[in-house]
This record gives sequence, structure tokens and C-alpha cells, in this order.
Amino acid sequence: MSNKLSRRSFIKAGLITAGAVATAGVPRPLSAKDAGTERCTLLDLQQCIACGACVEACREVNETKFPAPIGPMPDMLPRKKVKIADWSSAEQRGIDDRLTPYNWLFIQPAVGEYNGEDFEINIPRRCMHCRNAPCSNLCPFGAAFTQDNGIVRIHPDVCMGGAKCKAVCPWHIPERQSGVGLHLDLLPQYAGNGVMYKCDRCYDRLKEGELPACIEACPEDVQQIGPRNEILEKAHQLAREIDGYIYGETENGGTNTIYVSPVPFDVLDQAIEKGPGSPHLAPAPDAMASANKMALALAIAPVAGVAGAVARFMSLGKADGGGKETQHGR
Amino acid sequence: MDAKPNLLLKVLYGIAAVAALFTGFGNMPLWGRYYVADVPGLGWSGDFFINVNVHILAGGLLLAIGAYVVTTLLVMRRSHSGGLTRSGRIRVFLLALALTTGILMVIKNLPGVHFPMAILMIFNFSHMAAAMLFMVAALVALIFRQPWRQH
Repeated sequence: MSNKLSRRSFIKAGLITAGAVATAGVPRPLSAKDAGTERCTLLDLQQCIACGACVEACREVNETKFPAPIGPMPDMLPRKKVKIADWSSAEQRGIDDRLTPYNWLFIQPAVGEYNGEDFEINIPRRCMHCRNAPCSNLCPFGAAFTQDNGIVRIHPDVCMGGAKCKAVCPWHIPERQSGVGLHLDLLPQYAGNGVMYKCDRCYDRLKEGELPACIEACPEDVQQIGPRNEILEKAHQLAREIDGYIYGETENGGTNTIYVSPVPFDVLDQAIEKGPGSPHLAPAPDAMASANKMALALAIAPVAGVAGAVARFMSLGKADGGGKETQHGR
Repeated sequence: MDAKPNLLLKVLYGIAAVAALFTGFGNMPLWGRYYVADVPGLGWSGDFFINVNVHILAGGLLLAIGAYVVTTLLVMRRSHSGGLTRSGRIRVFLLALALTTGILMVIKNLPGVHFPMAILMIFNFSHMAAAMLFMVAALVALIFRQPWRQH
């Protein structure tokens, strides 16, 4: 793994130096006034050469945010149900071909054949930063949240590591590290199991008007970031130019990560290796749709209650009135 | 018109309160971990989306019952007579707090609605605290036969 990283460092340094000459193609830094508007990323999958510069930059920049478990893992109960997820060994930390608490971005290769031609597409995979993220909506402790600029974050000081965010995410993106976090100070054996980690789209860099590390480091300008409407416009234009396909615009009700590929995503989904830490590229219906329909039931409920009471009052009033008439008629 | 809750209302209130509390704990998430979702017939409690839908539905039923009772009391103009007992006041306050924070969280789940993390935490923890304290107050009232209203 270390050899792999060294090679990547070399390639990255070389390509970035070369790229610095041609600064016209480098994505522009963000202005401070843009910081609060909903921002979206566009990934042109034709451009990715799988050099891994983005992966390494992500790891370097976010190293201070990575979990640092101290001492042995707690003995979770019930043991059969609660599995320890420990990625903290040097070997595990080095893994860069899937999502882990120490690797928030990886390159997912897709090799296959489409329309009689061979293809090799490299797909940078990370959190999609959904517009109405179920991880953020359904976190019972408010540890997962969505910023106005579209970044979906998990706060490591509040997260209990229950992995509900992972279960409700259509791509099962967040990854758990046991032996860290708030639950150790509460009921370490009986509630919680560490902290969930995922891409936070370099929220701290964005706040300072800088680009996310993966975008800044990319020598091929695979990614760009900007206001959502502008990015969508660019994505559709690119898709028209290459007769390509878009993923992320409508998935899960809309995300702020838009992929454009010359190969259809159902074909790519068949070509990629899927499993733990390696998300799919299949259609993803809006996970929050049914819960949000229930909001209507909640809105109707008090009206129904008031109407029920008034109806009952009126029916009793009529009954009382009828009784009096009968009595009067005697 | 009798302002006292009738049997149907009591049954509906009981079902809604138990369902809201059960699915509330299920949202924590606890039922998958502690084998409750393995109990035949309760497998759904391990599914977070079903859980949250049942939770909102139960909250809606409690809200409807609350609106029905308050309207009945107002229409009957009987709120001045036979006021709430101390147990009743505590339960009404806690239930109102749980429902209010619950409504805010449902609003928060709608597309395009984002609250800052600090506000989310206040909603979440006050919702949880109110619901748990309501559960304790309701159990105490049930065990010691404490009525809602003074006779």
C-alpha cells in the first residue's frame, strides 16, 4: 500500500507541476459570498485517469479529522449483534480502494463493453451530498446535518455510531470506526458503537473560499464545483456534447454530485465491483418520499380533530333540539 | 355533549401513545440491536423508514386527539370546571412539547428545509427527553390511577 501511495505522490507532484503552467484549466477558488449558496459538483468521467491524486489529497487534508481510537475496543453487548469495526491499524488505514473511516474517496474502475466498443471508466466515489439526505433527516441525535451550501456532514463529537445513516443512505456511504466518540462517555457497552465517517466536501476549506482538496489536486480537472443551477446547465451541455448520461441529478430526490459519462450508468453499474464500501450506480428513488408524504397526514390531523369535535357537538345539539321539539309537541 | 374522553378516544390515545413511544425507541436505533426486530411480527421495527412512518402517523393521531379534546372543552366551555390534576398538567405539557418538537422535525425533513446543527440537537434532545418523561408520567398515572382531570 505504501508503494502505491508513493507512486501516487510522484504522479501527483509531476502532474500538478505541469498543470500549474496551464492555469486556465484549473478550477477557480470560491468567493466568500458563494459560501452559503447551494453548491454542486460535476464529475466528467471521461477525464479521470485514476491517478489517485484526489484520493491522496483527501487523505492528507482530512487527516486531522480521522478517528484516533485509544486503547482496546470496548466489549459491546450483545456481542452477536454489535460488531466492532476497527480500521485503525496501519494496514487498514492504508486501504484506498474502498470507503473506510480513513478513506472518504476512492476510484471505482468500470471496465466493459458498450455498443461493441471496450470502455474503461474511472469513477471517483464519495458521499453524494443529497439535497434531502436521509442520513441527515433521520439521525436521532442531530449529529448528521445539511448545511445551506449543500454539504451533508456528520459531527464526530455527537455521533453515536449507530450506523442508521449508513442503513438509510441509498449508497450506504458512511463508514464506522468503533472505539471513539461520545458513546464511550455514556454507556459504551450498551448504546452506540463509535462514530460514522464520510466525505464532508472539505467544509472548512470551502468556508475559507478554497476548493475541496480533491478538486484542487485533480490534474485532469475531472471535477468542478459551483452553484447547482450552473453546474446542472454545464452537466446537460456536456451530456449533449458527448451524447452521454447523467447520474445524481434526480437520484434520491436529487444530489449535489453530478456524474456525466459516455457510457450509460446501468452499464457502469454492471461493470463495477459492488459491496461494502463500494457503492452501486443503480437508480435510487427518493428515500424520504414516503416520510414526507406522512407530513401531510400530520398537517391534516389537528384539522380532523377539530372537525370531529365540532361535528360531534352539532350532532348532539341536533339530538337535544329534537328532544325538545318532541316534548313541546306533547 | 360529554367533555370526558369516551372509551374509543381512550383506546385510540393508548394505541397512538404506545406506537409513538415504541417507534421512537426504534428510531434510536435500538430494536435491531436488542432482538426486538427478531420477534415474529415485529420485523418491521428494524426498518427505519417504516418506523419513522408509523411514528409520524402515531404522532398525527395524538395531535388529532389533542385537537378533538381541546375543541370539545372550548365548545363546552367547561375548561373552568374540573381543571387538570397535577399529573394531567405534567402529561399535557410533556406531550405538547414532544408533539411540537416532532412537528418541527417533520418540517425539517421536507426538501429544501435545513436547520443549523445546534437547532437540530435542541429539537432532537428535547423531543427525546419530553417523550421519555411523558412515558414515565403516563406509567406513574396508570399505576397509581391518577386521572387527567379533577372530578
